[in-house]
Amino acid sequence: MRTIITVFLFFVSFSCLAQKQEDLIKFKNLFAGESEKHNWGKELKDNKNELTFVFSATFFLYKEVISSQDLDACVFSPSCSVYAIESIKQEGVIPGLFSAFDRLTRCNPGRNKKLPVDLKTGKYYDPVGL
Amino acid sequence: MIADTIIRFPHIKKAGLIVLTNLFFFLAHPSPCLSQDLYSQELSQKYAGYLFSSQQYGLAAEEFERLIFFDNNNLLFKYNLIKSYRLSGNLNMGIKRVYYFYGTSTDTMPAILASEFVKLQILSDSLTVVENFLNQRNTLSLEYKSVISSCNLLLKGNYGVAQQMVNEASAGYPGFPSPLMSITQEANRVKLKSPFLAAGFSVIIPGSGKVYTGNWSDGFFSMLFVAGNAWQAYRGFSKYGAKSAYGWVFAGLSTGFYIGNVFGSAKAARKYNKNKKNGIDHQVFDFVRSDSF
Repeated sequence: MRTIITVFLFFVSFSCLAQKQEDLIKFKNLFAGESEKHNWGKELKDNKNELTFVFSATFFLYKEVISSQDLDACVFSPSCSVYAIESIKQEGVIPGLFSAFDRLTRCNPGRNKKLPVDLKTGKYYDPVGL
Repeated sequence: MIADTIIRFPHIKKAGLIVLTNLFFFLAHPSPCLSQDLYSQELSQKYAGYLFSSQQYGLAAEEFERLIFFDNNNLLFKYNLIKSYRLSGNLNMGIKRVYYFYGTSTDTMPAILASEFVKLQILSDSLTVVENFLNQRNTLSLEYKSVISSCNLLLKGNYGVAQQMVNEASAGYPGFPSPLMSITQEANRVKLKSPFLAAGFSVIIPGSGKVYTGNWSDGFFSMLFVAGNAWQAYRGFSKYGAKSAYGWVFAGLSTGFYIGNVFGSAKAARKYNKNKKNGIDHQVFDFVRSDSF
């Protein structure tokens, strides 16, 4: 079983090595200056109820503490975490959570290439409600 | 001080006289009265025709507005104006101008203007207005009406009824546009996906609903996520018992991915249908824009 998993992960890792269109766009202005910094604190506002606020606060902490230290690896624009908080705010807590779970399964190397590309980020454009 | 300067520098006096003489002749000369009137009706018509033929439809519309100011009853000017607005993409202004010319009494509208009016309404997606217009008395020919009705039915998604209408019309009118026939046939070949069936598939086998909608990789990863988390939950419960936090965390994640996949499969089917319909809609819009009928 371990051998099968290792071989599977080995083949999956090949998709990470190729230079993609989004990589070229991402590094185009690498030395042009500091890129635009997001203000994730705005997500703490406009919450319909306390539960949504809890999710917003969790999102804010994740973005400021964890995601800021990590690479921008999500293939979609907006990223999965932003999609999750937007769907929770727009569709409600329970349907929004299920939409977020669905989005996580869609964020894979064999993603749907029929989706339009966001020219600003070079990633697949997949906002809530598309 | 000026007199003193003129005495000291006589050539300045001479130069001043030359300037004054030239100025007098310039003002007294009759040439300004003979200049060409660039804004005459004849020249405006020529210029509007040039702009229209060189596909500068936005500018052509402005020139045709000037021509209508000269001659409000000229049908050709009105037709070219409305067509220029349509081709420049200014659909709302085109519709506004038609209503300005004819008000609500669209039954008296000449056929060439009525044809432009329905094209404008179709391109701005006002399908109910088109349907009402076709049902009321107007100057459009029956063949033209059948073409527009077919386009309207295709845009509404009634592909079967549209096919029936196209078949009847093409039998009656030999010149019925063939592009519309092929669009209707293509629309009837499209097999839409049922969101309920997609959700049902995912209830039975996680990920199979996504496979049904053509998203193979999404289906595979959904299956992997649900099965992987369920297996981890099973391991946790079997190793540490029913009070195992390990088991409950993975059971929660597995349930979330499972229900999310059921919702996502229905959403994927709806998105699939929407994309297919958009493809047909674009073909119909291109056909209407092409002026081939």
